[in-house]
Amino acid sequence: MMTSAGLRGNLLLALGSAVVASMPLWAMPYHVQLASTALIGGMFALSLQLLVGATGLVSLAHGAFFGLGSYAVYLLSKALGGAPSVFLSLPGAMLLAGTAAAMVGALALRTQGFFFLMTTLAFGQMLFFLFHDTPIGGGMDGVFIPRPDLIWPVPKAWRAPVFLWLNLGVLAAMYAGLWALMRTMFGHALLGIRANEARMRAMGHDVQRLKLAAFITAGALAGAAGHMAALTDAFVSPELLGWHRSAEALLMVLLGGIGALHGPILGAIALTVIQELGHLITERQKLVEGLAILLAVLLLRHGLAGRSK
Amino acid sequence: MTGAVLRAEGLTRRFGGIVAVSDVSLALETGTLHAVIGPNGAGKSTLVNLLSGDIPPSEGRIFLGGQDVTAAPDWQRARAGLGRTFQRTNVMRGMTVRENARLGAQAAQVRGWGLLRQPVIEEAAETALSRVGLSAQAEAVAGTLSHGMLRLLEIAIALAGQPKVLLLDEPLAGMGVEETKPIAALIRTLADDHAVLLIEHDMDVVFSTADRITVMVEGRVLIEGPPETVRASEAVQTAYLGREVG
Repeated sequence: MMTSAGLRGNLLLALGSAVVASMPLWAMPYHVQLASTALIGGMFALSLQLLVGATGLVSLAHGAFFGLGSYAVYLLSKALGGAPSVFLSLPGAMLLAGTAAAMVGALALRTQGFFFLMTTLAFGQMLFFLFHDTPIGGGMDGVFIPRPDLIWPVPKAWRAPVFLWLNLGVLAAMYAGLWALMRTMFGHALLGIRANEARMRAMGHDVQRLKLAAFITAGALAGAAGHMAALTDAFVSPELLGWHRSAEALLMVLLGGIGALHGPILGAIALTVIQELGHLITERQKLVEGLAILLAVLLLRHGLAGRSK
Repeated sequence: MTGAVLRAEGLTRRFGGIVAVSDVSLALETGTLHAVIGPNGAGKSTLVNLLSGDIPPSEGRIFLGGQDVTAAPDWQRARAGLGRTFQRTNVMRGMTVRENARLGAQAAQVRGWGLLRQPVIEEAAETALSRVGLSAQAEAVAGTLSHGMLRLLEIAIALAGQPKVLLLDEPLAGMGVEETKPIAALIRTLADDHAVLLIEHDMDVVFSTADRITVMVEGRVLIEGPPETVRASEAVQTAYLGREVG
């Protein structure tokens, strides 16, 4: 069963949000940017939780949908000959990523378990190489892109705080949306599939279609996360689509807790902090990262979010 | 054969060189409790899986309410009114009893965008729970129930989908003598408003409740008829190696 934070947990999350939102007042600009990165990681991992925690699907194509969301900004700005409005680029990113998820999902969801994992890896890498090896995305080294226009132009000095607040808002909206979605009969059906797919089919649930709907929704939300990454960094590169992005998001989900909706948010923040600390104390950053994750998984069986009630 | 809700014609299923079910025909009618018995390995469970759509037949056809559903997958047959239970308890153990039954009702009643509404207490699910006697346990997590209650939940989940046909695959499996009686009585009443196919090893239950009995041996139908006819059959006595039947 998937739990949510509960009243006290939600209050803590709100308190945490307030602390993050106040960062521009007391933290260094570098750490404000780092917080934005963590929030975007949180969006991405949260979108993956709809597949992993809710439906029981482990996908390695998720990074590709994130990257497509980023590249949607590049493609739109190229088509329009300038920066698109955020009201165009955000839905555009979600539409592009969602459409790709529909196509990948329609084929990959015919397989199960290990074969699903491998099929999503194959499709994800196909999308990666599409942007890595063809001129469609401006080349393998990546390109700088014009940031989508917000309602008012943002002065340079205000960029880091404004993007931080924007990312916080999008993450909060995504969390609220998924929280509500998991309370619908659709959400309950997904939990049923995760618990016992065969029985759900025997009851008469169209499991294939429910899974596809979850896959498309998760893909579109990953696209929104990718869009926010492009908006924050003003830079896109094929690396954004790579399979290790998916693996990193899976780590965030695992670290935060598969059984709790808010787990991936905690996981994303924790992983960002671990990576940064590893970077500070040693050049062997990945080694520290790996050890920290190993310890967390061994000691916290239910992730940072804790035991489900 | 008119009036049959579920009809199978010449069902055959081969697994490699093994013929698990061979040329089996049967018809289920509302108000009739039709039992299938036979020694282990006779193909009873394979027959249920063929009828439910879990596995496709190698040969033969299946009609549900007059419609050919031979090619329809299991979930479509469930929506068309075919409910089943499993030999090995197969429920969502982490969910409450009510949620298990509610998902059964949801599968039958809610489609498409309607799924984006919040779940309500489904009358069909509550009726199913009260019919098997699990209303008091509705809020309990299924995994905490006793084996006997889980077997009842199996039936309730199927009932919540308001099926026309019920395929009960050894509903009494693993039950003590004390638990058997009330459930046998329940199964009898289920036949009042459903066409019921019952796979069961307990001969006392079968011969005292069934309206019709099909005896399967090595995938084939040995005999089909009312309990008295089956009980008197010498072929059946031989199939059970001289063991007394009934």
